[in-house]
Amino acid sequence: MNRRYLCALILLAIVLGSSQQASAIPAFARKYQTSCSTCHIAYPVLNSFGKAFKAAGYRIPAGDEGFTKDEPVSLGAPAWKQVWPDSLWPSDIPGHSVAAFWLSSRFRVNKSAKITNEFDGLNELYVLAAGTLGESFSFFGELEVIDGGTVPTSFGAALPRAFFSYNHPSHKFNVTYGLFEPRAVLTPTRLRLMRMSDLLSNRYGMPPTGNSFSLAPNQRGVELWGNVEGPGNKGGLEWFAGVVNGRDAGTPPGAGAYGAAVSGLNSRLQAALAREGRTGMEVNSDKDFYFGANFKIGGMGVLGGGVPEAELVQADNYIDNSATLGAFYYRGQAPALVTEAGKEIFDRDGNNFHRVGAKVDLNIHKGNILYGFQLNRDQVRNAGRNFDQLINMVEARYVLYPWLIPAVRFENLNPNYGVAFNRTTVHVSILARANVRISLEGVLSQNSTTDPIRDYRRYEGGNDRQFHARLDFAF
Amino acid sequence: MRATLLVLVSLSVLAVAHAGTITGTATLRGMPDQSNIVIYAEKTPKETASPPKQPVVMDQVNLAFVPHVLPIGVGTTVVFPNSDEVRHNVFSPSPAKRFNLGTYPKGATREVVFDRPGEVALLCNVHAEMSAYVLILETPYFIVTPRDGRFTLKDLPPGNYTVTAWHERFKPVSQPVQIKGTESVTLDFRLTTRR
Repeated sequence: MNRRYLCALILLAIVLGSSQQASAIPAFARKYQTSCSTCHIAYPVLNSFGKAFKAAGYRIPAGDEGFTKDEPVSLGAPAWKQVWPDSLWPSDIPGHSVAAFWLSSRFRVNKSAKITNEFDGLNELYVLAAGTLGESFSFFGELEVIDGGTVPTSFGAALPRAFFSYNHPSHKFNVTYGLFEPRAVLTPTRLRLMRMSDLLSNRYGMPPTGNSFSLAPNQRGVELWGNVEGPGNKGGLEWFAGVVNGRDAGTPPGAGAYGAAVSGLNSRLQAALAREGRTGMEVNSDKDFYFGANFKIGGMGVLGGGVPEAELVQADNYIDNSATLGAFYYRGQAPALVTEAGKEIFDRDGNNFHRVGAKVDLNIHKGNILYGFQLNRDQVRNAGRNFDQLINMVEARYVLYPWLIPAVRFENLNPNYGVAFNRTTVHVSILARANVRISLEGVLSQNSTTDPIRDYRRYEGGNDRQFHARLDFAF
Repeated sequence: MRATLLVLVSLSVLAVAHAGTITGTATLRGMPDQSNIVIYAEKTPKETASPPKQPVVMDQVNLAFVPHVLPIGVGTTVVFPNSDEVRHNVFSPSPAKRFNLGTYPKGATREVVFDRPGEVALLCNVHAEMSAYVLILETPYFIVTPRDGRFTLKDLPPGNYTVTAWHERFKPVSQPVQIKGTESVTLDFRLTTRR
């Protein structure tokens, strides 16, 4: 065996052997004195109970008080409600530390890179803060101290999530305000199992229009959302609608002749943006909006219906036989270089773009299959045509054992302006402990070698095929 | 006179001898602690009970009202001593009995007569986290559950009753029951949150 790979295996063995004292105590685990596995299949992937916990405003659906082991600090007894409006409405703040840490480290293999394999030491260090405030409010914040092995240089990169939510007691109507990942995605970027690459549906821009918009991982704005359980407390409906600034994922580079044209367009667009005193694409006052719904058939109620009341279940809580159908629509406006009277001019609102997605999410015994498709359409003024992409994705996961979870994802992007390409990602997660995850993952690109549109590779670190062994732990 | 007393005592003994009992368990959904649930039985039609002559105590100790829940009969006097090292200001905004006893120091006592049935929340204007409840009932048959939620209501004369389980944060639940003689009736309650 190659000595370098032997070293990597030894490192993994050391990590496995030395994590005897590790315990899962991030913010909510601390509050309820429970394991990560109460809410996660393999963190950050949520099980049905974890989704219900989130839908209930980060509260145990069966009755938060009964499960709270770390008593909150009272900001007024509940009876003060009777005094309102002559007093403040009573509330509380967490009695425990709301901060948690998530660290990851990788050993990467990349045959196309100058250095074909290397340890990256500390790849990610996230500080997560989350909690509830009284009966109706909750908050979530994420600070990226290190991301991708580097210290973020901008405020936006360092603080990808910071939101405050009002949760109506019925959970049918809630409001989230701040910096958050919209629900208008096929599957949330933040909660994905495969960490090496972002989903094409969430992050891929539209190269020929220069639109680098991405749905995820965060947007600034306000989102209204709610949940209603189905008959017999099974399944149910989640609805959502939001108004956001729109998000700029940066400018994708190009390659080849077509890529050079894209790069040229981007350069001119960036120069125009610079004249506006901006570097990002969001230079208009118009707000983007979106709406959608997910409907779950069977399984645990979306608000935790059918959850045992006395205990938080640790075993087999990844089984939830159910089907979820979902759809969303997103409309945004982005700046574009528009041709007018034979001249290229900068138009802040020149690109009306649309994103439409639909999905089927099946939980069958220990397995999960997610299929989704997304139509991306950019309409640039005076362009005389639409620029479309159809993205298909299917992801399958199976819990062989609660600590051994293989998964595979296949994505296909089919544009009406270029050549389609595929991406296959294979993955296996090994949970050494509830809060210690070792994952082996490979991204296999199956592009045609003549494909001129390779800008998606920016999300892959500039290479088609990669492999990594990754260690995550949270506390 | 002696004959009258003898008759009254005999009737009382006879009544107790024919008294029934209601036992059971009250549980709060999702809660490990089932204490502070008030179980009370009201005769149907209602019979007003005479208030006790002795006042009952709602103390203030270590920045908390003790007990946290106090069921009493209509017309009962409740005294509010301050056994703490700090000053307190007991008041209630509840419609059943609005009052404000002002701020008073350790060792001082105030009292209030609760002359109408209802639920009265007690607050301290100095310590926002303090609270307690006085439940004023039109019956002498009530009890507060301990941590395990088990209860026994004793000495109920024969008749029809409505038995109610009340908790400050859960929806009250009532059940009808008939006491025929010296029998013991079992009733269980399961309360869900008011939200």
